[in-house]
Amino acid sequence: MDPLAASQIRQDPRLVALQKKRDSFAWTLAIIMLVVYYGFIFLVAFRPDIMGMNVGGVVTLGSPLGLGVILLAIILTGVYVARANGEFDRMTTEIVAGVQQRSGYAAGNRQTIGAAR
Amino acid sequence: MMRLLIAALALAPTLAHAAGALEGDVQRTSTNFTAIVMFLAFVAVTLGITYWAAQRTRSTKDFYAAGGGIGGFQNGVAIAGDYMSAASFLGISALVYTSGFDGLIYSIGFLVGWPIIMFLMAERLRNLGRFTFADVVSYRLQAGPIRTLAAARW
Repeated sequence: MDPLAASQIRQDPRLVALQKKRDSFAWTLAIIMLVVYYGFIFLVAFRPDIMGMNVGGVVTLGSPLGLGVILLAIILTGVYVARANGEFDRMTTEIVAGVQQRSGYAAGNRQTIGAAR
Repeated sequence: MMRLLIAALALAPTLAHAAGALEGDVQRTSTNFTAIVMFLAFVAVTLGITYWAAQRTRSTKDFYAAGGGIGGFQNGVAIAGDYMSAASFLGISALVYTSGFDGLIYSIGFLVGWPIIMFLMAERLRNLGRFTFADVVSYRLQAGPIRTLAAARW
């Protein structure tokens, strides 16, 4: 794409907002996941007595906690996918449409915006 | 001569170990032909499917995303099967069998890595229109050395 359109897109306040929003969202989810996972692992490592507590029948606390970590991973994935495919894709489409209108640049699409970053 | 020397060096640790490994009562079990036939049949069918699929693959997009002809859910199930089957059915089940709960922790560990990769990498890969991490790195840096490194690493 031509450099003029690229710099125009880069300065677009909506793109800056999108990047900021998207990055902080992704990092928030990643940090939640890491904290929960390392919390679980440190419990296993340093407080095996907690993990070994009986929670009914032959089941110890470790198993439902482990299952919970797996379920949390699936839920966070769902949350990310919903927002990426909904809000973020909508913002991207708006930015592309805006640039096309202003510069008459016809071939702009998501890929060229990404490459311009 | 040089080649012989390298071969000897490569073999040296094996030979040193061999003495220890065979000590004690060693019993030879009878050959398990069922397992061997199953294994060979599995390999033959896999190669057959690969050949059949390779005939229809024309581009990178064909190779990684089935030409864009399958939906996100289908592709997700395929990747999940790819990612989980080997570990869950071979490694993890053996680990849980031998170590109990300690073995289960491994399956949680690598499942947790997956969403983190998605949060931080997926969007960037899609924006660049690339399919693998090596594709992205070779797009930014020199393709030749990066490809060599990736092939050696994986």
